[in-house]
Amino acid sequence: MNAIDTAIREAASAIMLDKVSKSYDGTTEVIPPLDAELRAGEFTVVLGPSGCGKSTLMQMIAGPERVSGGTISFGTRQVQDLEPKQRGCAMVFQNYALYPHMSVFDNIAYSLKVAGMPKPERVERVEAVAKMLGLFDLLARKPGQLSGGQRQRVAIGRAIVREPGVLLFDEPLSNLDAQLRHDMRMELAELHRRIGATTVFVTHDRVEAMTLADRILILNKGRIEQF
Amino acid sequence: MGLARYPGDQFLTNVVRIFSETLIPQQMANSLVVAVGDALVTCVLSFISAYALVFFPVRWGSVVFALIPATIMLPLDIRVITTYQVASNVLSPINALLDITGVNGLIAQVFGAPVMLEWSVLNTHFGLIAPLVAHGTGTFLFRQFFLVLPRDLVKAARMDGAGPIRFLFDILLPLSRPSFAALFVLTFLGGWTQYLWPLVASSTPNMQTAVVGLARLAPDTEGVMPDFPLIMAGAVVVSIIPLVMIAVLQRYLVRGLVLSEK
Repeated sequence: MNAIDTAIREAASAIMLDKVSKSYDGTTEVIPPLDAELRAGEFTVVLGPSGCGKSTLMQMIAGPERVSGGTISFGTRQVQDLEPKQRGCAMVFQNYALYPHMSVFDNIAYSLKVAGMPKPERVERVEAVAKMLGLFDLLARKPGQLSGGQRQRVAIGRAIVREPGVLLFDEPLSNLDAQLRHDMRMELAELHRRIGATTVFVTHDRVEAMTLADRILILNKGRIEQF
Repeated sequence: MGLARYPGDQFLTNVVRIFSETLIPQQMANSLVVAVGDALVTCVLSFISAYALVFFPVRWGSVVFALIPATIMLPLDIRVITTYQVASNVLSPINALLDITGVNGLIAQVFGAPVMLEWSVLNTHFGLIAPLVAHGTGTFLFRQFFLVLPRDLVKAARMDGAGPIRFLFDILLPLSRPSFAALFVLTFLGGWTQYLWPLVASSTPNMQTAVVGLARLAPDTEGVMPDFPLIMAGAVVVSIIPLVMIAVLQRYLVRGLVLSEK
């Protein structure tokens, strides 16, 4: 266990959804008012068919998508009106969304750089994360020179380097082949055991949900079917 | 005889005469200023307008975007007279506005004379460049490039805490480098070979561009034999810079125009 693990474990906060709803045009509700409490430090998988609103829900927790009604709290803080960077959560995207022109190091360090962290501290943090994810030898490479699994790990590194209390995954394994998917699943479970962030993982794969989750939230047409 | 494959023995003499007897060197400097200025400003304007149209929810955005390619359908050659009128007095629209609204009538009553603002940009480098820069091709090029970028890249940058300006400089600008190079070369060539506008907008030989100067080497007076060896040597000299430009930047040119490349 190192500094980053501890920092994330301490920052992990519960996510409270209180009558959260989303509607794009004001008449049809993508997500009708929805209540849920995701406990601190737990690995929650949101499972549901395509188009059931699980990605929308995720985006609302992360920030890029605004809520149409209701409140979202991390611990005791209400965050629904905050910008993504102020919420203290990080996200891993389905197609990784790495910055193609930056090296692995710069990709992971970018958020720290934006936040104005001094260089020596930045280097230290990035190297710690890279060691944890087995990326240390790849720091100078560009994303184009990496395999799918490695890119995935860079995306995870980019998310956890900020020591977020809440970690969000948007179908991160759907682009990988079967073998790699299996391996990454194991790695993710292992990672979660180590860092203990409150994790929300969106998927439509039942096996993935069963193997990874502490709790599973089943979503259908924006409604919680089972939690 | 047909076409001569190689320059004759007087080629160098004629090139030297271009540099010593004509204004072509100075006019090439003018061309360079016009072409580079045109290319730079066009790149910046296109980049910014495409950025606004693609990444921000602009009201009537698609209407605005539909109007932009319309500038391609109205090239300078068609609107040259209007452009000349505006360039001869950039402030004339303000005068017209004052006239129409009746403000000028009031001013004339109070101060004895109406306001007539005047600012001519004819025969200046600015006047040569400005009418060329607002052009839809670049906006179109950048827009198409931005649209093929993964949407999640924007979200990822936001999650990393980058605001619109940081995203522009740290992520979008480095990624757009090939598009920039392609647009720069194309606009540079367009600016360098521009004939009609520099011809009407510049009235003194030392403000004319190289292409206009080259045409002026042939005398307009009837019965006088043009100095063809001199003119041809001039044509070669004037073509060198765009050729070098293409030679140096052609791989970007291709990369920037092929949008599907990863």
